[in-house]
Amino acid sequence: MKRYSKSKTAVSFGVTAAAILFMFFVAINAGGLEATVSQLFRGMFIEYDKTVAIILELRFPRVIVALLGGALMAVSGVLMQAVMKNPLADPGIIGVTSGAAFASVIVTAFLPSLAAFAPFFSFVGGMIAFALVYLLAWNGTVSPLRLILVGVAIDAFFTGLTQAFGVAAGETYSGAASIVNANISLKTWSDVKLLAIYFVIAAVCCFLIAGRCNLLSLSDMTIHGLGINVNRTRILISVVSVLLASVFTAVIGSVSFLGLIVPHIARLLVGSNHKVLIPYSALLGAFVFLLADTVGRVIAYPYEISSSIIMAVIGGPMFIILLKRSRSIYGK
Amino acid sequence: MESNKYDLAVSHLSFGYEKGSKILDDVSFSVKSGEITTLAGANGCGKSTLFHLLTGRLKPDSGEVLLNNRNIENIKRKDFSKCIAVVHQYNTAPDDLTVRKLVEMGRTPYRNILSYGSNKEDERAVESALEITDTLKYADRMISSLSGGQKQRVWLALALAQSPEILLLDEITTYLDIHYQYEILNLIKKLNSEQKLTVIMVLHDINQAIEFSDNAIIMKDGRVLASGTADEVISKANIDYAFRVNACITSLNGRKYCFIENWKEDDFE
Repeated sequence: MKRYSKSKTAVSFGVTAAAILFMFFVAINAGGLEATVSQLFRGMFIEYDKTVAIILELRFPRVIVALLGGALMAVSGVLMQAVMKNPLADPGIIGVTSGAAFASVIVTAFLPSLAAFAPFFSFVGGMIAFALVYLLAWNGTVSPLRLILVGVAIDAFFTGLTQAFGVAAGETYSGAASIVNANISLKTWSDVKLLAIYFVIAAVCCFLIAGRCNLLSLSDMTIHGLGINVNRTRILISVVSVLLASVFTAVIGSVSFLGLIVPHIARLLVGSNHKVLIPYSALLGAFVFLLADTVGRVIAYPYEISSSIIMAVIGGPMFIILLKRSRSIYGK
Repeated sequence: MESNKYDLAVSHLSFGYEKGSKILDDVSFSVKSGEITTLAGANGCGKSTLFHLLTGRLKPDSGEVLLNNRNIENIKRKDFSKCIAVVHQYNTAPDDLTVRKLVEMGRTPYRNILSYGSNKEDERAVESALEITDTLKYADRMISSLSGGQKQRVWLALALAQSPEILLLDEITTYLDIHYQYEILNLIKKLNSEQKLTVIMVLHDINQAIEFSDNAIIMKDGRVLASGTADEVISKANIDYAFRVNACITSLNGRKYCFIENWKEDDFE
């Protein structure tokens, strides 16, 4: 029997926050240009420094995008797992992000003038994919196996469509490739701004729905008895979850496993109370995704390995471990 | 506080899961408030379906469930939950949820999505629910670490935290051993006499029904076979017909008992 004491939770938060800070400076310094902490500080606030200026324009947005994106995706995973009552639900694995990616590829290709609204269209694509998975896998409850099977099929379908489109459009259309491969190099401050806006929206939404997520961990009959409309609650939380995953996809691209592994580790550390789990997952997600991106940058320097590949390489085996362990943790 | 003001009744209730089939056929009865009513009947007689109609989880094809003469479909879910609390035979909760946290969820009908933390009223209700179900001593333990009987008391505490007037209990003693069955039933009796709660429970044990309920409703093939005081309704004729057995009703030290002498083999039509 595990207990999640307040002190353990506090330590988890503290250590993760410190790790993020550390990772932040590592990420800033990884690559061709280097700057010490004091040089960075001077360059940012006291006097102009060319190296620091370049880092500020190129690496800061990228690092912040990775942090915000990781947080959004991890929280999206937590919410989806709450809705599906299933610890293996992940917006990447069950096709939500590939639906979102397909929609944003189509929009940026055919209606480039609407590119600014890419998050909206990818939200629509994500919702369509999610609705398909939900309707096809729902059978009173969602069994883990059914969910994964249907999700993988939907994911393959949308990924296939996107790739077919990429091929048909030819090499010149790199937008498709950048979304599919989750390329987060060349991110600018405008991307940071976009993600930050949705981060704030997400924080407000999560503050409001955390209690509802806790209720969803009871049986539907019990929730109904407490005067809560179960279906409406599910839809509400799903919409928030898909929104976060879609924004992530529109800005960064399609990344699997992030929304699965982070909430899982978070649950082990701080327990399943969503009022704690959601903020902690955000923190841990930010750290993990920045770590993945930084590792991808340095591991084969000067070449870059996309963070989605890093996540897949680490995430795949971890997913299998989780599958094997899931019976002992969640099964009764 | 005035109690016993809520009357529950059903009127000409019919329901079928598919078109043409009728699980419930023109069921009508009213529940005496402030008393314990047992709902009995063979498997498949429609009592679970009736139970779900009473809780509003299913909607009747025709007829209505009336709370104070108002169709429950016209009552807001939260208002309904402030008045009627439900406990099921099988419940699930996350492994690391403590008893107190679960019982606090019983206050959900009194709160909205913007209320964070609990007010005095909530705390008082939770505390008294824990106290009367004798679960206060393990309020900070994980639900998963409790025994079956303890768990069921916790789920009752969750229902009581709703501050209801009426309790609907669906076979909540089914998975318990005899000791815990009596513990729970005595607790229900206590709630009924001390807090004047109206109780409607589905129960399989005829002798427990005799001992613990004021009234009984026996169902057979989707209809009400008999309803009235437990003493009137639990007769040899009714038990024999409803459960396809040969019952023997006898009296011992002034108490009524029901023994089953034999069962009748099903004649598959």
